[in-house]
Amino acid sequence: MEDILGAQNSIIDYLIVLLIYLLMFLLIRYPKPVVELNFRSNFKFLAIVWIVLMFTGNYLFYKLGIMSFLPWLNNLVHCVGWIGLCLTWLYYASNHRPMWELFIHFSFTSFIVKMSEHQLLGTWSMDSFLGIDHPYAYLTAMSLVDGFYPLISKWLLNYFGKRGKFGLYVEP
Amino acid sequence: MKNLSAELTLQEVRLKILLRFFFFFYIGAMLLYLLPAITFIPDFLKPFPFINDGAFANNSTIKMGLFAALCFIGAADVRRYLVAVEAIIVVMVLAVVSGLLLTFFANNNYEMETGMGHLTIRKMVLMSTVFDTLVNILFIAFYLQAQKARYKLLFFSPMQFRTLTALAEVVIEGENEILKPGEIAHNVDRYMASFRGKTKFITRLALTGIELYPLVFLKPPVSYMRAPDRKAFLMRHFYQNVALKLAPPFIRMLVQASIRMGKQLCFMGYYNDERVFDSIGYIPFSKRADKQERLDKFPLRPRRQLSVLKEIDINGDSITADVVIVGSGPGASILAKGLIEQGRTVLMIERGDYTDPSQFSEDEIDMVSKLYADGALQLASDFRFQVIQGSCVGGSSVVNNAVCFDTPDHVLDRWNDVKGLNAAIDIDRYKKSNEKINRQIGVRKMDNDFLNPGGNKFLEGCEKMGLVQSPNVAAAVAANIAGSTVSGGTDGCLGCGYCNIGCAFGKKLSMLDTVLPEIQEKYGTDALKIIAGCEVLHLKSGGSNIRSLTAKFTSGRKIEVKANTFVVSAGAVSSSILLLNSGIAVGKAGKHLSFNIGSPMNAVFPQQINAYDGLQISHYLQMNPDRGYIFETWFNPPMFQSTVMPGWWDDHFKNMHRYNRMACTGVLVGSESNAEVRVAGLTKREVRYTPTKKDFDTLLDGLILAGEIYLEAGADLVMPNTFSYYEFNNKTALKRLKDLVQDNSDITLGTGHPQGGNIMSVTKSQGVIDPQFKVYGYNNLFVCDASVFPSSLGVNPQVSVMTMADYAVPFIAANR
Repeated sequence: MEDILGAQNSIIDYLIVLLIYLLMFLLIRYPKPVVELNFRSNFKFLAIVWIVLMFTGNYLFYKLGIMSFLPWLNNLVHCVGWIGLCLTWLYYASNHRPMWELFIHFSFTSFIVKMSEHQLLGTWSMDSFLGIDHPYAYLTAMSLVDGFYPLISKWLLNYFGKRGKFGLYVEP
Repeated sequence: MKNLSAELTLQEVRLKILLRFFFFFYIGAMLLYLLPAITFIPDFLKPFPFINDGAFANNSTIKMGLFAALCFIGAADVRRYLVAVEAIIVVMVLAVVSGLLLTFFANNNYEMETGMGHLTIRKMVLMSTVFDTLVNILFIAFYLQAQKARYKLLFFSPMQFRTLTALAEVVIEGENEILKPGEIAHNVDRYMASFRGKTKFITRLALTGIELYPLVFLKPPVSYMRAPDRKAFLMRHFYQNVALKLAPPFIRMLVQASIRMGKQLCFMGYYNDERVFDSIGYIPFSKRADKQERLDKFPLRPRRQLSVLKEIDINGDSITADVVIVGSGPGASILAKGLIEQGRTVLMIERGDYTDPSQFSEDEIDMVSKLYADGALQLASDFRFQVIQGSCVGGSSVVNNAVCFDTPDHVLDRWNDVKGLNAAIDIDRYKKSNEKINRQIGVRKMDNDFLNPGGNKFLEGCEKMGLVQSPNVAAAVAANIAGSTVSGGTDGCLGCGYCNIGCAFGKKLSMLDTVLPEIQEKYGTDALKIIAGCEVLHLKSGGSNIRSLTAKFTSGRKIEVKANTFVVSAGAVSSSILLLNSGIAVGKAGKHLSFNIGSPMNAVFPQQINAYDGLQISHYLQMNPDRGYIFETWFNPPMFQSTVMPGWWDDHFKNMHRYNRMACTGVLVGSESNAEVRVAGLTKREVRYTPTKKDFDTLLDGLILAGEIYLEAGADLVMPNTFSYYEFNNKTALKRLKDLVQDNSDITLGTGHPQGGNIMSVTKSQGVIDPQFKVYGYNNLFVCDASVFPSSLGVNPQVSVMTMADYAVPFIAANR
């Protein structure tokens, strides 16, 4: 059970995490509440790709000793709720902005969410990371990794879109 | 002689039997409670001590006795004493509510000994509540069936029908009323049932609101009041409190909308009935003395046949096409013609029905139901602005006044302003398209036909005021109505005055009579297919390519239509709604909506004019330099005219009885683009609009000038269509209009010319379409109708819509 929920975590803790996702989602969705028809294939594509990549990646990187262990349920809700839904929507709503701006935007929102998960579930925790002895070094670094979401997403959409795959829309 | 042999309907007989049954039931129950308490207690009731309880028995005996009495009276004559049944129902509802409250919240829940064990009070009350509920359901069902059958109601509920009857009794008020209130309500019920529409329920809501509103003031519902009390209540709460702005704004809005709708329903029911025509001095065209003379002068022309597919003609759930055009109005038709000439084949999908012109009649209500449907009930979200649109094959061209204006130069300049709207239209090519359209649809000056006689009065006033001199233009309108320029002098308008309900004589050259059948005649029915009665719900895409659309027939059956190219041409409101429903142009579609807002000025002359006896819009006055408005003389057959006729109670009745001494002019103001269409509200089709101060002031200036023109022409008095009723008999008094009318709640505003919503612009952040009519972000989706206009025209938009379509043809034809 500890592998699934994490030590001393209850379903209530997860419900609070989901509530935070929901509130973040409302904020993210605010400027563009509906996904434009031509972006819907992109949305599905990005959401699925990122959910699969992150869910497996988080576990593999833990196995490689680069990341701390994410309890399975935490990994699942984080990948589906935060990465798959929220960050994909954030990308949809803001992808026309400059890439450096997006990097900060994505990193910062991820930092908020990871910090919440850290406080509530005790995850995203390492005593030191990349030689920096600080409890938040790992959490911050992982948030910065999320800052690359727009860059990688843009590349994925361009790569597959221009080859006419998955019905993706590439803005001219 | 009174009719003493009026038979009860089967449903009323059933209600009577039910009442008799419950009369005996309640008498039995009464005895059951009463007798044990006075020691006549049979053995089988002895185990139930509560039946012996005097207090308990007293209450129950009274209740059962009352119900028995009401059943007895109701059964005696279910028509005359129907109120007894209603009383039972109301009391039963109260009993159920009280039972539920006691069941769940009562403090005292003691147990009672019965012969069968213990029984809590809570359980006993619950059982009694369930019983009361079941009995009440029976009463309500039998009551509703009996009422519907008695009045042969087709649309309204009995309560709404009663409200309408009660409303008609006080709204249509004057000497020698021709129809009884019940007849008026019946006419309306028949009308509402005769067409399908999603927004019809609003009339039900309005009537229900009117009926129940007095309860807020602890007064009986409207239909239960005596007529004088009812009128006093309506005057105070629906008229004075609104006019004097005494009620809170939200309540005022609802109350005003309800009474406006209620009044209009009554007027429709009364003034559309041919028995009333004589009394108001109206002669339908079919009975006019010079009808044959006019027909001899301008004989009827053979009409072309149009092939239109209905649901039954469509096999399977999926069809394919080359180009799909959503809509069949003026823009869609010209576009179809151009695309077919370029070698494409076209499928048009029209939400409205197809009505063969041979079915056009003089019956306004019948024609409104066939040609407008929901389009006649389209109101802005604050219920203060009506957006009337045709909904039929041929679109607005079937029901408009055929008035033609070229797109004004100053409007084109505004559209192309690189620092503003930046539509980047090729003006030379656009103007060539404009000239081509004028030739193609036969636009000509309507100066030798049967024009609206009220227009002459208007011109007379203009001349006296010196307004006809150049650079002003005061003249007969140009219109695409059959005439000498297209048929060698033997053709022309008959002046029946029925432009807005479809020209039964084929003189108005609508798309139904000209472009659409011409295409099919020349290129065959395979080149142009039209599906009617089918609403496009949404478009589907794979990335930036629209792959198909989903459409629904009135039966609910859905089809999927695949095509190479998709064109949305359903009009400013519907096109925006379709894009929004599809998730296209999110954040932009539906915005920048504008109108030619209009309001009429009525004038009463001492002599008979018969303004109805001629072309509905016959003359116009355009001021130069531009003052922001134009005038168009306008008059309607009685039903339409009654809905825009100023006045309440006997004032309205009096005005309608000088119908043949009246003339009317509409003031049109090209509004700013501050309106919006949204998928919201009760109908999921919400127009949000409040006129800007500038537009409102411009409109009032126009109305004052229109009134002055009529007074100059010898009118006894002039009347704008204000909520509070005002008559002005001199110019000085008329100037007060600006003080009397403060905002749009004080005056009736409407439009038949919505524009914008999906505007064209090079600037992607504000335009829904690019200058090639392609929707930003999509390879094969185009919009081409009045919704692409970057701002309002300020004149009738028909020619501009068609010009824009002709201009768009090369861009859309090239999309394969």
